[in-house]
Order: sequence, then structure tokens, then C-alpha cells
Amino acid sequence: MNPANPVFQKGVEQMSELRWNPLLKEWVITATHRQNRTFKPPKDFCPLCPSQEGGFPTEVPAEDFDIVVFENRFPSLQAEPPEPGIMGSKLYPVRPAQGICEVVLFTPEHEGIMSRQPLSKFEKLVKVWKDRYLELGAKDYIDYVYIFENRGEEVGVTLHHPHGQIYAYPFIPPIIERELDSSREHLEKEGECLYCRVLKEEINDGRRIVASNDSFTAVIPFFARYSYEVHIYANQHFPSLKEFGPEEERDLAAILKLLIMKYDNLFGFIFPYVMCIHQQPVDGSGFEYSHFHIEFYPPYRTADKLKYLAGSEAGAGSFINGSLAEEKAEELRKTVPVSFERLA
Amino acid sequence: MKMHKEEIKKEDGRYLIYYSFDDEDFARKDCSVKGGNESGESGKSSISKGGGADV
Repeated sequence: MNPANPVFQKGVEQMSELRWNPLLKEWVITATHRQNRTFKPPKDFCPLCPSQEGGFPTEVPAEDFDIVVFENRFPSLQAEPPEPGIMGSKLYPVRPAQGICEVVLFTPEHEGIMSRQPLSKFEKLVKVWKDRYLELGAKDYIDYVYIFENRGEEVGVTLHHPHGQIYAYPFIPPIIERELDSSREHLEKEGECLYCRVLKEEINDGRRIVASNDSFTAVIPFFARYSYEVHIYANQHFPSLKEFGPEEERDLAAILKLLIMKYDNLFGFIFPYVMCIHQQPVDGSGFEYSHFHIEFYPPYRTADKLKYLAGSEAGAGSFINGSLAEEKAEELRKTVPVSFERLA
Repeated sequence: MKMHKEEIKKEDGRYLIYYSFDDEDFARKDCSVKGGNESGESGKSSISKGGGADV
């Protein structure tokens, strides 16, 4: 624990640890200090804007920047975590919440909308993601580098300045582990990567494809759980960002920008989503059966109705999708990829 | 295109990294993506149809 970290200077006992859930076989992170994190500040007090002369000090002590990465002030995981605040047992193992949580600032503009950013901004972002994947992944206590973005209050955003996050976990998170287990089993039985097979199936069918380029394909998969859930798969078997060359970086930037433009233009407002990058763990496992892809989970199921995780989803883990992937993919294909403000 | 990194330590001990780039290469590139502005027809042929969109 770094005693200089403001998280630990509030005079309140902070609890942070990993608690094992033996029923679901997963770690739960407790991080009570996150209750104190900055919550929807007014624009003039945005902690993610560049610091201005005479203004209050923000996270970024510079008047301008391109892309910035910094350690989260209210981290769920820390490089030097405190000892667990509670004793574990054989049934309930407990571990320190060791890991790293970073914030990635996409732009210095508080109201910068990513769909209106130039393609170069996306390409830079891909390069930064790759750099973080490699640097964080080289740490011996990190097993998985998870890059994601929460966009919009509908998915819980508390700071509106455009940003993403990176969680470097000391374990492989459960959804990703389940995916990788499925892919490994498929490889053992069928001799092929499961993601490569899914992509082949989607391309052969074609109805659920949203867009594609030389290196990537965007699709609402056959098994989509959300109405506008899009997955972007690498066309080749690239396990992670590490394998990308300049062409793949540029093509990923292009298809990301295109998709976000379509999303924002779909209903004429900035489309909220959770964006998740899934790739090879950094613990050395999974080269043959990990396959780089990005998953988007937008909560809107129509222009004015949200999908909630209710009884079946939250309590039983069984998703009910009230729409057909084939129809929604067609809708997104038809949506013109221009900034929505240009249609007005 | 070259990426530059500058890492600083904040007063509370956390790190912050400024990423900057040599931009020259970006301006010359365009990128077409199939599915950019298509008819929206379904079926196998749809993904190879249409002119795509410069983004």
C-alpha cells in the first residue's frame, strides 16, 4: 500500500481484498474506498480534463495532451495492496487485491465524442492499448490484462470525459476463463480454434455481418444476448494485440470508428455501451485457442427502451434477447456511418 | 509512425504516462470498410457489396 495515495488518507478504515465464492468458483473484489470516488462532477470540475492555469488541479498536470494513461485514484486492484481486512478459511479463501487499475484518457476535450474523432485517434488508441497489454502483461503477478470502456450513464459512467479503463488481474476473469475453456475443448476435439470456427460460420451465413475489412469482421453473433451486441473478430488467428502489425492496427482503428459512428447514428444520440477486449491471458496460456476480439454490449434495445438485467439474467445467468440478431445486423448495416450531427 | 512515452510520478506516488505520436503518416492514409453504407440486404453476398465508407 502506498501511504501517499489519497485513497488511504481519509481517516476511514479501507477494506480491499479478494474473496472466493465457492459456489460460482470466482473471486469477488471488495474495495470499500471506491464508495468515495468522484461522482458525476460538473464540467468545470472534471478531474480528467487537462489542468488549466489558475484552475483546480486535475489528474493531468498539463494544458494539453494526446492520450494519457494513469493509475486509477480509486483502484479495485493495487500493485501493493493492503493485507486482507478479514481472515479467510478453507471454504472462504482470501487474497490481497493485487493488480493494477489504469484510466486511459482518449482526448483532452471534455465533450469530445469518439465517433467524431479522426481515424488517427483510433489508431493511436490501438497502439496505446497494445503498449499497455505488453507492459502490464510482463508483470509476474498479472494473469490477465482486460481493456474496456464504459460509455454513458446508462452503464454506470460517473465521469463523462471520454475515457476507458484497464484492469490487470491476478487471475483470469470468469467469463473469459469460460470462453477459453470452451475454445480449448473445441481445439482438442476438432483441431481448430473455436473463434475461428464461429467467424467462419458467420461469414458463410452472412446475415449477421455488420461490416468487415481485410483484418476484422464485425458481427452480431448468432448467440447475441443484447439487441445491438456487436463482436469484432480478427480475421486471422491472432491471439492478442501483440501479434498485430501496422495493417491490423489501422484496420482495427477503421472498423472501430465505423461501428461507433453507426451506433451514434442509429437513433441520433451518443449510444451507450460496454466495450470489452478479450485476448490471450498474459500468464503464458492459450496461444492456440485465444483469439483477439472485441465485444460491445449496448443497453438500448430500442431508441427509448433499455435492456435490464433482471430475474432471468441477473439471478439465473440466462439471457433473454427480445430481438433477432439477423434483423438488428441489417439495421446496423443500413445505418449510414456519419456523425449524427451531420444529418440534422 | 512512432509512438513516444513520457512517464511522470504524481505527488501521491501514482504514475501517469503521456503518449504522443508522429502524425505524418496518418494524414495520407484512408481506409475503406465494407458495410459502411450498404443496401442492408441480408445473405452471403451482402458483405462483399457496396462501396464501403471512408472513415
